[in-house]
Amino acid sequence: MSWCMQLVKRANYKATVRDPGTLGVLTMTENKFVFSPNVHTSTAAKPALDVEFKQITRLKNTKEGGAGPALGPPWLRLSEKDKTYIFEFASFRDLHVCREFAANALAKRGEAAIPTRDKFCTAEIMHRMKLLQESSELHKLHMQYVMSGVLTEAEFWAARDKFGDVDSRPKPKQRVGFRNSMIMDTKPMTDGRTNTVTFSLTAEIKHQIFALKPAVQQAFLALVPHKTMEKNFWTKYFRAEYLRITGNAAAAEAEAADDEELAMFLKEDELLAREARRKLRRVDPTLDMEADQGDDYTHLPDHGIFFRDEVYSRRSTLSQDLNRQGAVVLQGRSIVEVDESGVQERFGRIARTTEMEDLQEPHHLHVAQLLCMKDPGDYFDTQQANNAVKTEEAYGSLRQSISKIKSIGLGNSTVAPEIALTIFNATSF
Amino acid sequence: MASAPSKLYADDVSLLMVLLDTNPFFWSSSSLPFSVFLSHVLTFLNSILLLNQLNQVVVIATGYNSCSYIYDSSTSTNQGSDNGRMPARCVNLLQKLEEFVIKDEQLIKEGLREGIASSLLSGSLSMALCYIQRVFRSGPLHPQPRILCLQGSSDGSEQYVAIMNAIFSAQRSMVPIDSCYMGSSNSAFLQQASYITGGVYLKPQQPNGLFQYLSTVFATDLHSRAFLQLPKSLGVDFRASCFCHKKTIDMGYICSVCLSIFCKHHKKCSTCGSVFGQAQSDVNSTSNKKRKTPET
Repeated sequence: MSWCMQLVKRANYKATVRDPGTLGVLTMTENKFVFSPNVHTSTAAKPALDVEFKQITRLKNTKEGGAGPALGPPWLRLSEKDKTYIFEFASFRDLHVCREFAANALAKRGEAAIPTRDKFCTAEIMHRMKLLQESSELHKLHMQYVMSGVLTEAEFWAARDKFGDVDSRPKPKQRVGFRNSMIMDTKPMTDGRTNTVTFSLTAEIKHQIFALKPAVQQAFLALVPHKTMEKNFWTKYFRAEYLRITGNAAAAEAEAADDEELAMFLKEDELLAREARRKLRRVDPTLDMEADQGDDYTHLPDHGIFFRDEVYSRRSTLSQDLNRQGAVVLQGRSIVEVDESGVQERFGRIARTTEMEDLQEPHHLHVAQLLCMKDPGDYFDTQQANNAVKTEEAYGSLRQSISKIKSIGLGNSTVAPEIALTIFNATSF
Repeated sequence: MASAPSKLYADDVSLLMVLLDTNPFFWSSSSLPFSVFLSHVLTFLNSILLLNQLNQVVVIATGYNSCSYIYDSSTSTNQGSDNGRMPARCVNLLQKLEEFVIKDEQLIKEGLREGIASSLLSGSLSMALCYIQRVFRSGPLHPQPRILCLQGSSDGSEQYVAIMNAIFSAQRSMVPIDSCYMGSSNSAFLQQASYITGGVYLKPQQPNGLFQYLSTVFATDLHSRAFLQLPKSLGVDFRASCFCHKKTIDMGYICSVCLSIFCKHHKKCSTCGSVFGQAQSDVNSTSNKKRKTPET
């Protein structure tokens, strides 16, 4: 905002619209504007003007471009309660400078806000009103500055635009997400008469299958145009899915042996597995996930005794499917390739989180050996291992023990004094 | 056992029933040799008998195939081959124990109990309770009975029902079951037994100091116990075993009539014969009518 203390412009002063006007010099200061005619006359009809801005209630001017030459030179109209001052200028530039000055002066004087820029299109005004309605904070600022006259309407909005008004820009179109329903298992339909099952497949379902199972997408891209027809591809995919749903492992294996494309669908999704491993590496190294998994043996048969490899080769569980679905629905993106630099970063984090050097794993191991209960059953039924001992040996050693004590008798000190003291202290409170 | 009326049984006179685990499979793998264990126990028994001359000690061997009384301080005479190395009563006890082990081994040759290395705790508990009942019925004056289980082998879940019955029986007769468990993990049966009957469950951290544990925690009579702060169980494994397969389970089916526990849904309770899963109105209809059965 440029603010000079005084503005002097040539102008033609008219008391009314029909008035031919008086040529003179318009001088505007912070408080008032003064018009001095070029020809000093003593007639009372055209006195020199000296009006204070605080008396002015309205400010109007011709619109640039809107007025043709027929309407005459650009004018600025300052209105009092019952009097109007019209100044005609030689150029729009002069008009604008004067209008700006007058508007500033009026605003400074605490006058009511005057829309100085009438050129706003209706859409913009509507937009501003909408913004004010939407944001109470903005409305408050507007009240504070514009209504009280600290800033003009134009300045207010100009400042707002300068601060990077994101709201005024058209918003990017919202991306359409996936339906949040489990499409992992597209259910087949039967017609009830024959053994044929029908999978209905839309473009959206295809898209979702690709998003959920990157391996299928890879296979599709590799195979479909050249090697096999799209219909054939999907038939095989759903055949594999069907075998999986029915849990017919034997049939699945038999079919997989015949058809390598089908086998591809039946085996584990390598991309997802890699992704899972990558995520595992990002877990806080001090958190022993495998031990937790091992502890939670209660829901598994045989006290959850399993072998490490089986855990990984097991088909994804419902919870894993749900997690995958949730991730895809939220992100709607394809799988990022495995980041090998994560390994190095993980070592760094281990070094940071593990203070003692002993607890840090050796760096040459590429994949960390997690601390884990290898077999929770070991801890559950430890004594079961005793079965391995031969019955005769066991009874033999028992009898030997009895004979031994019979022969040596009771010793003088059954318990070593230091042990006795430790125990005594531990058991007495 | 002759309980002479002339004896003056004060409230600090104890009848200690000691259940001695003689499971050969446990002791052959235990870090504490059986001979050392025996020396601690024998010393402890001697000290119990020395605490009060009216104290009575009965030892029952909890074997792998059988159980047997191997010592009773009220009947055994102190006469015998006191060879100077140990009191005669210990010699007698060891003699009986050796005979018991030989008999127990013979039993295993006849019918092999495959797969389970647990001792017959339910049998020895029942024998101890029977003995206590005899003492109770001998007259109004009798020593205060308590049971001390010196157990090492793991719980035999197939004995669950029998052991629980014994525990509740002990609870009814106000007989506390103390337990000193020498095995590697805790024994859920003994934890429950001690918890229910108000006894003390102890798992010695240093087995080679067993005598110290026994004399500190288990030597005092029931009357004096009220004035002592004995070790409290930090946690009790309350899991039950199912009646059908004797498996330890976390969740199961309970008969609404007799509270029997099953790991699977049954049409009929094997304990009390109640028929499950039929609504009141369906009682007269055919039994093969389709009904909702919870999936197992």
